[in-house]
Amino acid sequence: MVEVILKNVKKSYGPVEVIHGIDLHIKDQEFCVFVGPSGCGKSTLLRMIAGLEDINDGEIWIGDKDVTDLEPVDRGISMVFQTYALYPHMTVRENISYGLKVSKTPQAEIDRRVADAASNLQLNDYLDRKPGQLSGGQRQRVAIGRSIVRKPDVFLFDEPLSNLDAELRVHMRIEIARLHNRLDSTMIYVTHDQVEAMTLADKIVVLQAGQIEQVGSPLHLYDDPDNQFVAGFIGSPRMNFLTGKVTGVDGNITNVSVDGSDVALTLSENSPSVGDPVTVGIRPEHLSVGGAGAQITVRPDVTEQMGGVGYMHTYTKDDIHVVAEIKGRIAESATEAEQVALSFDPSQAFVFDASGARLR
Amino acid sequence: MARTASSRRLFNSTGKYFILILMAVIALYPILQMWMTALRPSNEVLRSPFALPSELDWSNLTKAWTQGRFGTYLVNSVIITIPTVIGVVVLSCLAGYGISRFKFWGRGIMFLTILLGLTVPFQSVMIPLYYQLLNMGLLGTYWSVILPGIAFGLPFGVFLMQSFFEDLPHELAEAGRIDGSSELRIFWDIMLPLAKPAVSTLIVFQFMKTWNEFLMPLLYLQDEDMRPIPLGLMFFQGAYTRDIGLIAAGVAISTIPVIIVYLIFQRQFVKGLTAGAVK
Repeated sequence: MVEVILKNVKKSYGPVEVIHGIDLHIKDQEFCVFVGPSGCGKSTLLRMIAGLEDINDGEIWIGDKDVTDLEPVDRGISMVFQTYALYPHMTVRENISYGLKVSKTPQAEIDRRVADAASNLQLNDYLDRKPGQLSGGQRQRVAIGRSIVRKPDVFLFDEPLSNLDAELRVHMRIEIARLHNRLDSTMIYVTHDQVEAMTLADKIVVLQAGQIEQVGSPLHLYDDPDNQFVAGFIGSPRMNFLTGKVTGVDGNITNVSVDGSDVALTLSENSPSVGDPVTVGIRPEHLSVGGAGAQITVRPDVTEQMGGVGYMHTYTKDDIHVVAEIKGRIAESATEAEQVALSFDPSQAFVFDASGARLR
Repeated sequence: MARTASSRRLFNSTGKYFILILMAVIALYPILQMWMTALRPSNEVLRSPFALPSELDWSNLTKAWTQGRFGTYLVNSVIITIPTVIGVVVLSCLAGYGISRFKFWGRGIMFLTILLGLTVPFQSVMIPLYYQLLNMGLLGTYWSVILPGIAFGLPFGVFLMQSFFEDLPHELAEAGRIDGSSELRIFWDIMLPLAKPAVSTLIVFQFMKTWNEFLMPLLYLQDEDMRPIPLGLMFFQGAYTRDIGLIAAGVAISTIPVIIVYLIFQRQFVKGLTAGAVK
């Protein structure tokens, strides 16, 4: 059982606190992904778990060990860096085996483990090459190989795919998912790419400004975000946010004026008061041209045809950008119209109060 | 049209090559002239100093080696230069790495203080240093030149190595820590091999500087048997003022080790000079 537990972990640089007391429980064999915008503290948090950054307060437990004050090597972790951090003067074989040599593992065991890792990662033909002679994807595989030969309890990945091109990224993402299935280890993965987060994670931790915004499975975060930040961050293209004002409350039904149209929304847990400003969030796939339900009138701008689906970029009369995902093809004449009515089912809309908290 | 463009290209490249060849001739001619004079029969030196030698005459070189005691001077120069270069390189690497990698209190002031050494001319401290060496009982020993030589080499050495280590990705050291290396092992196994170009540059610079050092041995090494090559060359010139061929042979001998060291480290040296220019 290798769980990772963070208890009220804090980090400051001088007087500036960058991680504000994080509590987190990552279960054994779980694939946990930290996501958030640049500067939110996700890499810092990962480095704190690795032992590369000291923490100012709190505790970090890996398995049944308090590792807060332990050196990285004593924590039972291994890490894959964004820049691969391969030793350029060593061959692939030397890179993979370096950690084992340092720990004085017998040579026969080193050879066996390197051969295993090389065959799992299809690196057999490159063992005697130096990193400079490898492609980006091969280098990334060497970095993963260096990580797995040490048989760590927890794998840490710091944006490992961000230096690869789009095609290789998809390929390596699948490789990492396979690796997780094969090794059944606890993995913590940092990324700002939410497609990686959605496809790889068992659990996503959304961070903003050094705080956890929400923790949950990818679809849970997508379907039931706690606040406007998570709703906007998870999902691509991002959720559309329209400003509105509460015009009436009748039991569970809250009437909101959005872009001049009255929309009746069902809010059973926490109703706002009449006159309160709210934000209505609608995912692009929940908008359609014409159709039944609530409607907003928009000005078409440009379209993006992806083949199976298309995206219509539009603007409301208040110049709020709204994207609609249209199944199939979008007619070329769509952008020629002065105005288009987009409709949505009010039960699929999300409502947020002025502070960004979700109203349910 | 195409013809005009291609003739312009030809003219441009001819012009470039002309300038490059001219520069090369200016740089190489004195060396060539020195070797031609050294290998010319004595009677030709004054008669036709700029012509090619009618025959190769090695007698000047053998005479300079035996009569000028260049064998002894060469050994002395090696005894002084090798420990000085090793001392400067080892200490500069350690200090440069420490200052670039570890964030400790007073790090900036320490670095600036070391850099300040670049502005101190030897002439300003040569007399107090003389008395200090005398008091320490080091005057007249090789140490009187080696230790100050190391001290005067360190500011540039630390500066060079610090800048180089600063440019190396810090993730490499972090990967070493994750792999379980101690700080010393990270330095030795990972960072130092990557610093080869800078180390080579430092070796070449320090070797040339120490090999050509004149004033320090003149003041602190008074025994003739301990003189290094530049000093020996001066006394040799004094003794054989009129024999230009012999003097040229002495100078030629004294340059050989520097050329050998440069050729050994040349590839890495060039890399070192351009390191950090392009990521």
